[in-house]
Amino acid sequence: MSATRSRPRACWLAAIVLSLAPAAAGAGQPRLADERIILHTIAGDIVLALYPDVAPRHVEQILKLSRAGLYDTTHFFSLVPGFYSQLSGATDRSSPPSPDQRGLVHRLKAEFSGLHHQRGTLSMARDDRDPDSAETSFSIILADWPEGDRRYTIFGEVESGMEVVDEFLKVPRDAEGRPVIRLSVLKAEVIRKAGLAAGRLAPAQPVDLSQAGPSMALVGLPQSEAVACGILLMVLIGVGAFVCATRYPAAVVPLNLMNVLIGIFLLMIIATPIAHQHPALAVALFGALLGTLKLMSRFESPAS
Amino acid sequence: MKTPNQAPIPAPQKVYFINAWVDYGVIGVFSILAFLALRFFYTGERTSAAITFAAQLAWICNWPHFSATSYRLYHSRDNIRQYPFTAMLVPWVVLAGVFGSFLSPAVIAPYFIKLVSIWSPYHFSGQTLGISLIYARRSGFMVGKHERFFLSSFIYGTFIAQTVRFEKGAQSFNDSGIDYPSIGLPAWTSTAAESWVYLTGIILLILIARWCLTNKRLIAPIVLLPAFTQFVWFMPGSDWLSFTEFVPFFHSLQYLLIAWSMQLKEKMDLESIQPSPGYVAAESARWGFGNFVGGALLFFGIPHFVAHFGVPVAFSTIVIVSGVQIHHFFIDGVIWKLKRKTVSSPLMVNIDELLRSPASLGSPGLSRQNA
Repeated sequence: MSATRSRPRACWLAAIVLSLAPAAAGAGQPRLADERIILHTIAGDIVLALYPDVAPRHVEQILKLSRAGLYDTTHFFSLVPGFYSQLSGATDRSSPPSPDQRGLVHRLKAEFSGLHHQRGTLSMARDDRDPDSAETSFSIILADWPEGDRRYTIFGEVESGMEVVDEFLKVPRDAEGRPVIRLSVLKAEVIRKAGLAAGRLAPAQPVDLSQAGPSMALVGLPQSEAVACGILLMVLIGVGAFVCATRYPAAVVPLNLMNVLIGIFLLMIIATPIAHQHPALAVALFGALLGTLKLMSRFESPAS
Repeated sequence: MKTPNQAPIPAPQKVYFINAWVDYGVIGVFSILAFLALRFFYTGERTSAAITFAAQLAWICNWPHFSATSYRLYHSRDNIRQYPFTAMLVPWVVLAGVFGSFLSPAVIAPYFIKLVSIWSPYHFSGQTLGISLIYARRSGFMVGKHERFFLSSFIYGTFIAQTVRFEKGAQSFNDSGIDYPSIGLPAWTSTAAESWVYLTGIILLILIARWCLTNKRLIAPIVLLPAFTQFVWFMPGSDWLSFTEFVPFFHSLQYLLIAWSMQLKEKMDLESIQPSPGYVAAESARWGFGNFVGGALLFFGIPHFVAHFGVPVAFSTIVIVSGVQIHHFFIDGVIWKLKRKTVSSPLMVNIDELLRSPASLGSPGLSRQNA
């Protein structure tokens, strides 16, 4: 098991660049697959229609992943009005995917076409440095974007439900376009066009900010039972250190250092999301973390 | 700075645990060659071939090295009595973190993993510094206050430079399906950290050159090899993802060489065992097999057992492995203090002392000179 991390695994999130240039004259309407994917979200249903003749490998893979439930509990994690709304990778779910589900994910070879990126286009996300690095994440394009043509694979369009995306855009976001709450896809369902009865779809509705779960990256000063439990643990260890101080003075240093470690851990949970907006806080947090690690080397001296 | 008159000059062959070929290879040359081979003849991507091969190596090297640490602490009551809080308190706190991660996969788990992701390379740096100091002592290079400061600054600087690169800006990372964010450091911190690495590296080289001139002899290159190796791992190597898969293996390889030597020497002394090839072979097999089983239990058995309770195995694996690593960092932080004679003395051992009796060696061992 790796003891170090491999960070750049998830660096494809910023795959698209903002532009609002007018679309060139459109090509003919591509044939739509028989199947539709319905994204049942917390703000209503979005129906996706796919282009099997334009991007056959992408369409096949997206359908396979949807049927396997890989898009269930994913979320729209990045929204830029007038540009795009990006669905997270299928591994970024509320609950981790099973090994079988993960086994379905693989890299997709690019299938660029002469189609144009415009409002409602489904455009596959990828690593900027590698055209063949798309896996599961994709964007719903919100306006004409000619710069993306022949650079990102178009594999379908939103057939209905753009109003749902518009509701998502009303949710407050940070400077990076990340919503303050988790805009979840509750379930992705594959259904034949013929089975898509009128009235079956949930209409767009405003996102209930009080009901939706917090976006993991933006968990602020929360309300978190987890943090409360950590503080309780610190208090108990602190009491232990106090009780030990007279009878077992050697216990004071390790118990206090354990408190420092738990404290810095809780501080990371609380302050990291805020630190993104405050560089000085980020530097202080990082320095405190390094100092804590240094202190841990003095955790315990051998008892005589 | 000490002069040769103040420091005993060891016999050259005692500089190494085994011999120059093995020690140089394990401590750094193998990993540097691997980096060069992957850099010039292979892709920089995390290919499935690289991931698979690194995972196979983890079974025989990376996982046993964690087990070896636990064994070192827990195999005798005397050790547990010496470090009661590390042995008895830390596991409970780590278990609290593990349970917290299972109960709160969206809040606790990401930061539990993030803590490990930062602590792990820090822990590598501690090992790198320790190995450098061991070889300095073995080769008769007395590390003065300034040399130690700049050596330490250079080694930990490479860790900070690498970590800062990952922690700057608003980045998001994913490990086994768990997302965690960067701290959001400003861009200048990366430039500052890298400048610090090169500055301290240059000053260190100047100090060593001065020592060589003063003492009219060259420093054994293996003293500087651990620091240079870590520089390769964390600076150019961290950009080459196919190589980063193997860094834990090389770190563990270094560890196992030292821990194996220590185990053989310590047991031999404690139980008054006569050195012999038979002893080395039997004890190595026993110790190696035990650590292989222990590693498999910690990294495969327990996560798969927990998965039976409805937790996805990938999630249980990453959380439990993070807990095991934190426990490992604690133990390593306390049991390898070179200032302690009971630690430093066995670390001066050479394979000859384990294979043959002192009478047949013909000269006093370095460990006796330095003890």
